[in-house]
Amino acid sequence: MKATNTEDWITQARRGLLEMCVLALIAEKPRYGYELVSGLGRWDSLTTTDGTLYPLLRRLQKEGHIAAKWQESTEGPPRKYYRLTPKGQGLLSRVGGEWEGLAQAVTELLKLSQRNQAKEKADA
Amino acid sequence: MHEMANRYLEDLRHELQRLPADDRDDAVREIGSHIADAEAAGRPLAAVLSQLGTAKALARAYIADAYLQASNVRPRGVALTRVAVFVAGSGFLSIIVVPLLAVVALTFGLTAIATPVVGVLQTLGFIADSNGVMYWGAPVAKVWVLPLTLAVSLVCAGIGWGAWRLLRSYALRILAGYQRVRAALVG
Repeated sequence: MKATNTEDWITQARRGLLEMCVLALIAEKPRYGYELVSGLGRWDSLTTTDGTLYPLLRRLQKEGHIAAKWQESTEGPPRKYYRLTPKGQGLLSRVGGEWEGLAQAVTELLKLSQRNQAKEKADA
Repeated sequence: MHEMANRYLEDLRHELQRLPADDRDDAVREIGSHIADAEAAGRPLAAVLSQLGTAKALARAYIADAYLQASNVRPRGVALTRVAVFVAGSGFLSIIVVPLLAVVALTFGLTAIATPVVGVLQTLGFIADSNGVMYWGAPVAKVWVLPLTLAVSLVCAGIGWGAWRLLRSYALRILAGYQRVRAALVG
């Protein structure tokens, strides 16, 4: 993973986590594409181009983590609804567990570094 | 306004040629549905399309993810041509570049080592011809021989080292390129 500056890093990190966030949203209840866009849009830090989401959904479907069904809609054209498969549920719980471990480690490391930086400022 | 959306979807369908027909139709249909939902939510069409990215970029993302998942997408035309050009080009270039850089590095490196040795021998009088010590056709006083040879040695060392670094970075770049080729063909 090459990250040459902040922007690159943020984009890469988001891309890695997007899959997990999408699975989590679908786990909550079956959703269609635009619903996921709005769901993710609640958090600034998760903003991503819509163009990233749909290929991701296709891949998750091909991998068997989510299943899709087209449903008629009264509000417009039919919508493609996604729901989690047992395989997807397994992936989500494994990835979620990993994430919590990672998040804890990173948070503690950052706290340590901030404490050190504050100490150096005080000593200077 | 609808025309812009339809044109986008037609472009997308065209760019997705490399996907199987079912996948292509489904993708185009889903993006159409997304556009409709976004417009219903009050977003201007231009913003929606820019958020999706160009039809080409979106299609590439679909195709790239399809590769990632190693489905029935086969590399075609453009991708294979690029691979072939890289392999042929790098092969041809390497025939010229590698020996050239290697020879430069080697000869200048050896010269850098040999020159001071010769200088010492000349200063001590072991090597000289009838005119005394000559460099580039002009006689040189013995006391200047060693500094001169050291200077020459440094210059040669610099050139040799530079050639070596270039050779190394070229080799690394080519290797990285071949790794990508492998990934593209195997993936």
